[in-house]
Amino acid sequence: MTYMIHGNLILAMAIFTIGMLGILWKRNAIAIFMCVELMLNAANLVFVTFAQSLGQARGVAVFLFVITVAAAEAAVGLALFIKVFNDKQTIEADRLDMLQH
Amino acid sequence: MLIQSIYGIFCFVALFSALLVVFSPHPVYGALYLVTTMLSIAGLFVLMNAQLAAAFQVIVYAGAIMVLFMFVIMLLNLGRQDGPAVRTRGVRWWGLVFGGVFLAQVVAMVAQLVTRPVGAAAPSAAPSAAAAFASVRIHEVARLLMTDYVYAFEMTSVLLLIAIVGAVVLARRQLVQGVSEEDLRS
Repeated sequence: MTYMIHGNLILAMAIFTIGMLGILWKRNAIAIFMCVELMLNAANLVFVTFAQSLGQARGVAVFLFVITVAAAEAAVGLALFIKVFNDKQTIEADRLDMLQH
Repeated sequence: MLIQSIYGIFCFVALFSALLVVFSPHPVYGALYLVTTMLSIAGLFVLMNAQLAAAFQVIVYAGAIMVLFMFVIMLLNLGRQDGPAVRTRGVRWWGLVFGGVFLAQVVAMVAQLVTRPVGAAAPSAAPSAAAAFASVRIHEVARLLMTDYVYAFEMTSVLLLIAIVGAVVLARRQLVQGVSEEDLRS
């Protein structure tokens, strides 16, 4: 079963990097948000992999915390996006540059 | 052998749909591919004997959070991203450069880990790690949440309450604005 541990770590690394690349690459705020969720998923995968391989329940407990924080973040963030869209008629990250001027 | 091929399929689907989340032109397709990624990660959890984590992954992530994403995408009626960016188009290529550097860094770290056996870091845990995955029992997780992590647990409930109140406040003001606009029109 060692191949599963290694494979999961490599997969989590790849998904985390894809998520980070997406955050830097995408312009739509919701797409950026989805890439954040990808990165959180990669972190969750690492937590659960080590929890299972070491027989530790702590990893699963931390996984529950991460998933709760992700849910709270999604709720507030998406409400903010709706608000910003009503104000500016766009959620393109490049066009929300009020703080630059 | 069967387990290995199922594992490979889940890994491939997770990686492929994660790539498509970034490279799909329409946000709705991106959200659907994100659901696919989460479901295949849940499959990996099941293969690792972590049924609790798999259930939470499916119910909370693929169920609740992604439905929220789909609602908002459809509410905002976001079409294809058309038109070039205002002036920061070159930043994307910097993103590629930084992403590549980061990937190389993490590959080096993981390669170091993989060349060394997992149990070598912790000799006491080596026999259980080398054997099949131990099943983390649910009541053990629950006991941890109520003893060691009880402060974090309570803080999480406060965080969820704040998130609910925040979302309601943000949505409510918008509703009041809509009513006043209709009043102005009529």
